[in-house]
Amino acid sequence: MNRKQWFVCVFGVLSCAGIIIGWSFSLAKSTYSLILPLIGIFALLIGLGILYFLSRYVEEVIEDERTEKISEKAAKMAYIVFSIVFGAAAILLIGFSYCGYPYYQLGRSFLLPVSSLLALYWFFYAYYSLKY
Amino acid sequence: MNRKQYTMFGIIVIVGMGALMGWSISKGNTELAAILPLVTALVVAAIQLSKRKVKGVFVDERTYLISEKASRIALQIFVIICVVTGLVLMVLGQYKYPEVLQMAYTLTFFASALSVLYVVFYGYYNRKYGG
Repeated sequence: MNRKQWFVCVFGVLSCAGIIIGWSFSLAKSTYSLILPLIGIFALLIGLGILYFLSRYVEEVIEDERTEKISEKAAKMAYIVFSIVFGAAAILLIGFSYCGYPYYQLGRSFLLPVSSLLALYWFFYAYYSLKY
Repeated sequence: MNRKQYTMFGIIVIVGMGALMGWSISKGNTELAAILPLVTALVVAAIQLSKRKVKGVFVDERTYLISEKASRIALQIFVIICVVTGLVLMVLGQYKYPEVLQMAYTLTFFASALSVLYVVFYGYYNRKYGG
């Protein structure tokens, strides 16, 4: 399998998983079935498993040092922008809630993922710091 | 100023600003709470300027390498956990616990926002480094 075929596979598998998830959720809402949405989530996990299996048959280079470096830099910038924007938004929303606005719940639900991401980052920072 | 003094200065300023913000909100002093983000921005700018006077190496290539690797793996794990948890909560929210629906939408929104940000920066760096 070459690089182009690999990307077609990724696109196809993820599109199918997305369609199955959307279909199962919309059908489950009308039929009140609890199994249908679980089938959707299961389809996503199977799709990821298929991609992992197919990745062994790719003969060309999918990721070299350049793409790895770009990915790392992009991840760092995304992490910084995300933490600052949503962290500030969470603090402001919680602050506004004390002034009478009904944003406390929203502010709290913003704060939890941001703090989890920061905790994950610092955990892996410590890990790589020890490793290197 | 050495590196340790600079770090202590930064921590004291950040803790002070946080305490002032908390105090002003709890006392209902909304004017002070509204001005504080601006004051914080000015203080951050002052900290950045004082960085120039710090003697010694602050960030080297090893720190950059560790930080970038940590960001990448943290982002990957965070997005996967957010998507799976968001979908599970959506299922639970539709049938039994409607109060978790908002959390489910928030988590999936966060996963999408982070993925979009990542793709945007990936495109930028891909062009910058001759893609």
